[in-house]
Amino acid sequence: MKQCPTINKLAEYQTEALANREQQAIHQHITNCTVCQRELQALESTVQLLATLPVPALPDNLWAGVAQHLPNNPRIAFRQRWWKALAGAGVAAGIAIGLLVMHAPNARLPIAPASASAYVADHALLSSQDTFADRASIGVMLALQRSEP
Amino acid sequence: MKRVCFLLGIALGITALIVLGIRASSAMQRVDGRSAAQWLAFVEEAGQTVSYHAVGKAWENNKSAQFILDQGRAGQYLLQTTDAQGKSCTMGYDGQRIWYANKLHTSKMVADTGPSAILVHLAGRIAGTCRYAGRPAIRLVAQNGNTRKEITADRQTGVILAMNTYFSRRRVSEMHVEQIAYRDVVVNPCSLHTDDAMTAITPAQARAVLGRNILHPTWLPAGMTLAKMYHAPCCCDTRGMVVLRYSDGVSTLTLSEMRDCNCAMCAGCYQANNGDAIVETRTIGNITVTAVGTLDVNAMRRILGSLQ
Repeated sequence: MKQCPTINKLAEYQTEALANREQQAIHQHITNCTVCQRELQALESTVQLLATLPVPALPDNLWAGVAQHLPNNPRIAFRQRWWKALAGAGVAAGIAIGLLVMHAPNARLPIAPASASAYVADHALLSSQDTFADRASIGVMLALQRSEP
Repeated sequence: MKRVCFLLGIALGITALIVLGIRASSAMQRVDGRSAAQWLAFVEEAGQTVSYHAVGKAWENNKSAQFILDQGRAGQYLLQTTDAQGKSCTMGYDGQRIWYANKLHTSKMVADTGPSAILVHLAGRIAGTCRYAGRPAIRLVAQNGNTRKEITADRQTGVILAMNTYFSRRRVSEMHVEQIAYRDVVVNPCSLHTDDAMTAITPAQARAVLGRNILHPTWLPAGMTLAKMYHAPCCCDTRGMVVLRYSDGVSTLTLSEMRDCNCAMCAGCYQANNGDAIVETRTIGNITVTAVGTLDVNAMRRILGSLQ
């Protein structure tokens, strides 16, 4: 590096905030440049001087003042959360509905063989004794019942 | 995406609130000072005490027919159905026997049934009031397990004027009265003569038929109880079979137990042709049990699995 670095670059060099390659280039330049050595010493003395200054106490109402300048922030955070929660609930509801449909009783049962019809007819006739039996509909079914061979 | 989720959530929430609101309000509703349970008990009682003549239509498994019903006191009745193709069935209860006979020369009689119905205490709700077949009516919903009954009953007499039956959320049968006349009806004794009648038996007689103790389910759905035990003829064994009838007033179950039987259908779980019953067979030792019930598959399997 032939040209002297800017004062900002020197400050970054002093705090080791530069990338490795740039840090090394400036280091080589400073070893041969008395001007930059002086500037660096001045920077270091300023930093040391600042370090000796007392740290001021934070005012009590600092957060209130900051919060005043951050309107609606909690709502934004809530908005970011609630739709995710709702989407999760929707997915869960969808899965639940799917499971219910899949487990709908008797959905895929084969039709009973002809040999079962006599049992079904007997069951229907015996069931006709219940108060809430639909006897008329049982009659419609029994009208089609054939004798066993 | 966010908007869709938002709208979906709002729609689901509103629907849930409406459904819950309707159910809560209807569950609390009273009509003529009676709650749903009291109305259902009133309808049950009417089935045993009110006499009338009714004409109407019935629908079952996509087949419909006209019916004429003569309902006597003490639950006796004579019912005739005739469909558009002329297929007809007569069924009845004369206080001792229930029977049916159709034009296909098929008949069956169950003798010594005793009192006609099991009185049960059903949970239900009032769905509203209306006029039906020229009568003031109340609409009731009773549900046990997978079976739901929507009943429209005469508000003054408790007689059922219409009934929709659903099994696993699918409507399986429907009946509605078109005309009703309250009057005294006499139901003549059954004149049917049949060799294959089912007859009520005692547990000791059932043991003799099976050569061992009856297989009883150790698990049954809540409210389901053994109503009656019968002996029925079997085509492959002169000893016949034992038939156990269970009911909770809405759902029903019949267990047919046979000894060394080779006429039972293949083991497995099936849906009856009319769609409102499940048929399942299980063999334990030399006893074959065929179960027919208006219950869901899981309940049927659990019942059969608990047989001892």
